[in-house]
Amino acid sequence: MNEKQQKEFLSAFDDLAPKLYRFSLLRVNSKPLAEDLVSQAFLKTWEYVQKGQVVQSYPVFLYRVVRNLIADHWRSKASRTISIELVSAETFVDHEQMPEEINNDIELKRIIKSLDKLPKDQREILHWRFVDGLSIKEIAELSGKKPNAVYVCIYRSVQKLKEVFKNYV
Amino acid sequence: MFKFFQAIKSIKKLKALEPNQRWLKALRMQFSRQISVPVTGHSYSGARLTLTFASLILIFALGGSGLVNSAQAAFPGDALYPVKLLAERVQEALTIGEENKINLALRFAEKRLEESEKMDQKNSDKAIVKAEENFNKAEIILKKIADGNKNNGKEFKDLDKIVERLENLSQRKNQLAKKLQKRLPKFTTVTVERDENSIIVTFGTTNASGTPENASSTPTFKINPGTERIIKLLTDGAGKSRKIPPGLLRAPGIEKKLATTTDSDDSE
Repeated sequence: MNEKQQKEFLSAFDDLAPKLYRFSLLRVNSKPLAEDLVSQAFLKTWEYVQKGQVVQSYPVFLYRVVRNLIADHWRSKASRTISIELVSAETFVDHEQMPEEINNDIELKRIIKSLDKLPKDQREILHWRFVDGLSIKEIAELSGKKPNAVYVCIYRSVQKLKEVFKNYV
Repeated sequence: MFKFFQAIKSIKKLKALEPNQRWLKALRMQFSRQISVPVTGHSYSGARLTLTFASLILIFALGGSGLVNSAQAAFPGDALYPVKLLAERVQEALTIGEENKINLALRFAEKRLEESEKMDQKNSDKAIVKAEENFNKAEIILKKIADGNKNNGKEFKDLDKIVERLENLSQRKNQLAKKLQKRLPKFTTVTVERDENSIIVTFGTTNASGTPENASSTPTFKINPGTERIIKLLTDGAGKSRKIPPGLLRAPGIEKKLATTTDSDDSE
C-alpha cells in the first residue's frame, strides 16, 4: 500500500464512516450492530487494498460492501438461535425497537416510518441523494440504473413520500 | 412544489443521526496506526506492543456493543462464532512481524483444538478443519523465514521453540482426528461386479481386531449417472493416486444412499 493509497483510504474513512453508520443504523435498528458492520466494511476494504487492488470509487465500493453485509446479517438472522447464557441487556437486539435517539424524536420517527413504506430501491436512492449527498453518477453505479432513470426515480419517490407523510399528520 | 421541497427537507433531517465519536476515533486510530508503524519484521517487543495496543483499541471499539466479549465463549455452529473469528482476523491483520504472526496462528490453532475437544463429534470436524488452516498458515511463514534467514543465529534460536510448539500442536491435532475417526463407520473393502443391466456392490468392514468381514446384505443397484460416478470412484479411485477417497468409505449413509436406487426385484 503506497502513501497515496493510504491517504485516500483515510480520507474516505473520514468522509464515509458517519454516512455508512447512518445507512446501516436505519436498516438494522441497532447501534452496536451498525458499528460492527461499518468496522467490518472498512476492514474488508483495507484488506482489499493491501492485496494491491485498486478501488476506483470509495463511496460505491464501501456502500456495496455494507449492503452485502446487511443482507448477510438478515439472511443469517432468519435461522439464528442465541444461547440463553448469551442473552443479556447488551447482546439482545430487538429489531422492532428503534434506538433511543430515534424513539425520542417524533419527527425522525415519522420520517423513518414514512420511508419504510417506500420500495427498497426508492428508499435507498433518496437516502443516498439527500442524506449522504452522493452524486447521481455514484447512485447510478450503486443502483444499477442509468443516470436519467435515477433522476426520474428521485422525483417519483419524493412525490410518493409526500402522500405517505399525509397519513402521519 | 413547496411540499416537494418540504419532503426533501424532512429527509435531510436524518443527518442528525451521528455515530458515537469515541468509537469513530478509536476505529480511525487503529487504521492510521497501522499505516504509521513501519513493517520491519525484526522488532519483536515493539511489534508486540503495537499488536496489543491496536487489538485493544479495536476490541474496545467493538466491545462497546458487548458482541465481541460475548462471542469469545462461542463454538462452531453458534450464532456469535463468526464474530469471534472476525475479531481474530482483525488481530491477525494488525499483527506485525513474522514471528508474531506464527505465534498468533499457533495460538488460534490451539484454540480450535480446545473447541473441538469440548464439542460433540458433528461440529468437532469443522473446528479441526479450521485448526488445519491455522497450521498451514504457520508452516508457510515458517518456511519463508527458514529459507530467508539461514545464517541468522539469533532468529534460529527462536525458530526452534516455534517448530517445537508446532510439532506438539500437530500431534495433538492428529490424536484428536484419530479419536473422531473411530466413531464413524468405516468400510475397508469394496468389491464390484457388473453385468449389462446391474451392478452388485459389496461393502466389507473390519472388526475390532482388524479382521475383515463382509456386510450381511449384498445390494443390487440400477445404473444411473449418480450411481455410475460413485461406482467409478469405488473401483478406479480418484485422480492420479487412484485411491478411493477415504471419506467415501467412511460416509455413514453411503450404503443406504446406493440402496435407494435398488431395484426391488431380486433376480437370484
